[in-house]
Amino acid sequence: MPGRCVRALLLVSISACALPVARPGFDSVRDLAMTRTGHRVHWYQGTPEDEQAFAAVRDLLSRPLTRDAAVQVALLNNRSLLAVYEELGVAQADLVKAGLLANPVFGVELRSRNLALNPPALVPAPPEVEASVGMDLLSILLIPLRTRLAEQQFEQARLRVGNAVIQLAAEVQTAFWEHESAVQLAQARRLFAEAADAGAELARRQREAGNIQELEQAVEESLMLEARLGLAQADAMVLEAREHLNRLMGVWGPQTAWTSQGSLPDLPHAEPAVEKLESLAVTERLDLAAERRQIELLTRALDLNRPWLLPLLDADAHAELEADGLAFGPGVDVQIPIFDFGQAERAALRAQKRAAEQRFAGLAVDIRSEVRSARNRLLTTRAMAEYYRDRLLPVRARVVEQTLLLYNRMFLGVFALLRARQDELAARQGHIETLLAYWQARVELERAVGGRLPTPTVTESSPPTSTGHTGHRP
Amino acid sequence: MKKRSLTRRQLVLGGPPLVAGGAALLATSPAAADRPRAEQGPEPTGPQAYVPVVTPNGSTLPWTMDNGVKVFHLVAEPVKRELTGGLVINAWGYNGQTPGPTIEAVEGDRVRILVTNKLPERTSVHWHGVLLPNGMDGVGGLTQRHIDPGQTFAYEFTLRQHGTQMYHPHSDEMLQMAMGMMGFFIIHPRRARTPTVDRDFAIFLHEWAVKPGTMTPDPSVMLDFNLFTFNGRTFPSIDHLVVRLGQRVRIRIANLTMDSHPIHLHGHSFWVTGTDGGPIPPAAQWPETTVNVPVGSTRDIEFVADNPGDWPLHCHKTHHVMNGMGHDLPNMLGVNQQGVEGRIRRLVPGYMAMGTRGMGGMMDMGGPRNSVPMMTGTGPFGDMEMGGMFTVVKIREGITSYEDPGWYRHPPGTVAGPVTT
Repeated sequence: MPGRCVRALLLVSISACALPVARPGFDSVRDLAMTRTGHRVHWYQGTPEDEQAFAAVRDLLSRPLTRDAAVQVALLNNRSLLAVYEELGVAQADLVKAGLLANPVFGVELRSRNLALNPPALVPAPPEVEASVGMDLLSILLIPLRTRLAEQQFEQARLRVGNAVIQLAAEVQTAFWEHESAVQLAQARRLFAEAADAGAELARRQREAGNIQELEQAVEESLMLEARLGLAQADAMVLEAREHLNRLMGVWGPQTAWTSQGSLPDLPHAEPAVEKLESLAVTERLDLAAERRQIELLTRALDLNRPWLLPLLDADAHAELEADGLAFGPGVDVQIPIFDFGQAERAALRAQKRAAEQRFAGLAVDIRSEVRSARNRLLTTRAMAEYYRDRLLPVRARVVEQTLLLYNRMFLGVFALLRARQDELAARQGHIETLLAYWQARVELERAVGGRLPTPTVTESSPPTSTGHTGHRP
Repeated sequence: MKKRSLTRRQLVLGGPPLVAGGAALLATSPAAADRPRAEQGPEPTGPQAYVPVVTPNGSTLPWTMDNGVKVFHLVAEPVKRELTGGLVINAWGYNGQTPGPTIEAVEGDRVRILVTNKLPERTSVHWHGVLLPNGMDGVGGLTQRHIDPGQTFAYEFTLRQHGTQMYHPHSDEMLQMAMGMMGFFIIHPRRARTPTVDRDFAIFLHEWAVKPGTMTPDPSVMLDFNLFTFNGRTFPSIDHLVVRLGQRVRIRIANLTMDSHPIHLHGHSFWVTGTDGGPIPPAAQWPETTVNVPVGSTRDIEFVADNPGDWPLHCHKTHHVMNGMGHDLPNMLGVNQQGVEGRIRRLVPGYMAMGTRGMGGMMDMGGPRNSVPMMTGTGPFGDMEMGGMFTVVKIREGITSYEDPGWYRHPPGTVAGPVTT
């Protein structure tokens, strides 16, 4: 208890002359961002570092955008995230306030005699002055507890801010992959449309030469038009994805002119270790930690609500200036808990605490499932992407190659050749979509475990698990 | 190959004499009685009584004598046949080849043909056009039990006719014949007929359905064949028929396919002198430059090779002188493909536009393994652009061997050329 009192007084003194910013809290957010996402965050508060952050954003956008660059820009530039930082400011202020003593209340009363009631005197009597100074003594006793409470809330704010950083990083990565795959898909669609164009042009010329029926020519033309529509749609998806990324990165005007490679990276050689991810998630997830803090907060609040503390202790000292001198002495107001001894408040707090416990348990269950689900999706999409890359695409290439050889032997015609190429492009499209699903599953898994996956060890090749345990292989 | 014919001649020379006893039998046969005296030639002066038939790209089945019976042995078995360089097929045949070896005998011979079955299924051998006892006819289920795999059957009968006959299975006939099981059965007359024939060739026609890049004929195909052969070979791998100027040439053509084949000879007209029914009386022989050989028939033609040079002998159904091609191709004749060709080449590297100016003069860009271009072959004046049922009769003056003499050296002033102003 004494230590806490000392600390409370220290806080009071510090807060009296502290900067209106929550530096220690944000430092931890900065550390969290670095370990969980590998990127920097910055709180713009008019320091020289602001210019460094602006310069970093400009520099990243001037080069071809990568996944890491996009995340970094967003973390430095996304206004919603910057708004969330202010929660720390609010929480810090609350923390300061918790350490402050209540201001004393000074009261003064002036009484003048009623002349009519007294016999007339030659000298009027001076008015009586009553002055009092009151102090909420309870606040002194409660400072440690209130500080504790405020600390918990500050912690929660820190966790919420940290979680917001992680969520944004995940969202940006997902949006970035979406954009890259959209560009790649549009390219496949472009080649598909070129093949359809060539076929339609040949058919048009065949019709001109009188070699095919109008019906045959119309069919080829319709296929070409449909292919062009598909391309237009794919191009539109690219623009959509681009704007989504722009919103997340918080850029506008000339800063939206960034370029990128426009293709998804191939599967990494090794999968991160996917065992014990559920335990990792339960330990690391910030939203779960925030819920845990909430329970602690309510526990502390219940502590604060002890029956013996409830009666409001009001202590004061008053002085009275009378004709014959100053009369002074202390006074005290006590609430007698006969009817309301705080049972209602305590019941409410207990209910809230139980609710928080349930939410915590529920969130833990959901988190475990999220992790399992993301892990399964990761492994499935990986297997499918490998299948496309190593089995289907080579076979489709072989179909094109063999079709060309039979075309050379005058066994198949040029339209069969174009179709074979189009079929190959359709398979490529499936590959890109599956690869996108893989990369997004990876982002989701990282988000589900609270930021970063353990470093890769071996290539994961076990089938997705649907059992309850944490990725333990049989 | 021509050396082999000489060897066969030697074989005949060194072979057993004609069966004298059989002649007596023949004298009483109705066929012999019907034959006008005028057709019989002079008495043979030596043991050789016939000019052995040349089966280009094929062979003649040797025999042994067993107590006056000519014994032949046919082995029915799967074979690999090279139709031309780069094109080998899984066929069924006899004694390692398709068509099977030519059986040659003389009217009056008693022949015994042993047939061993090494096929995956049962078979039988029918002697097409041969007059014989019913039980030797070779119709599985009707005149005999089928020959099971591993079994050997014996067919024995006395020949009482002469002409160009055939042999082929009569079990699972459609499939076994589609796979190539057939051969010549040539019966020479007891006495050489006049005018005497100096060169005698036998060509067995066949058609196959073998998709480019595959090896096995599809026996269920009824009409859509894509490879056409003389004696199991396509142009340019069919042996040339080398003939000395002035020789009388006979060509026997057999057809057991699903189509008739009009076989055309350049530079000469010939007489149709025989069918698998027998010799055509001279007054009834008719002239042709193209003899239509119907399904299930043979035709003999004869001509005097009096026009020197390299003369094509080919089926006149133009699709039958092409190697495999598709029949559902888009028609690009007269269609300008400039500009589009480049765009397609960007999508499919190696693509070349085809067909705008016809199908000739095309570079071979390569095809699937075990396939050949539709048209091929090079002659002394450039590409010949042929395939399938196409060969050349080479008539040369004063040759003493039947080695391929190379291309004809034309006398000056006899070659068509551009007009110079």
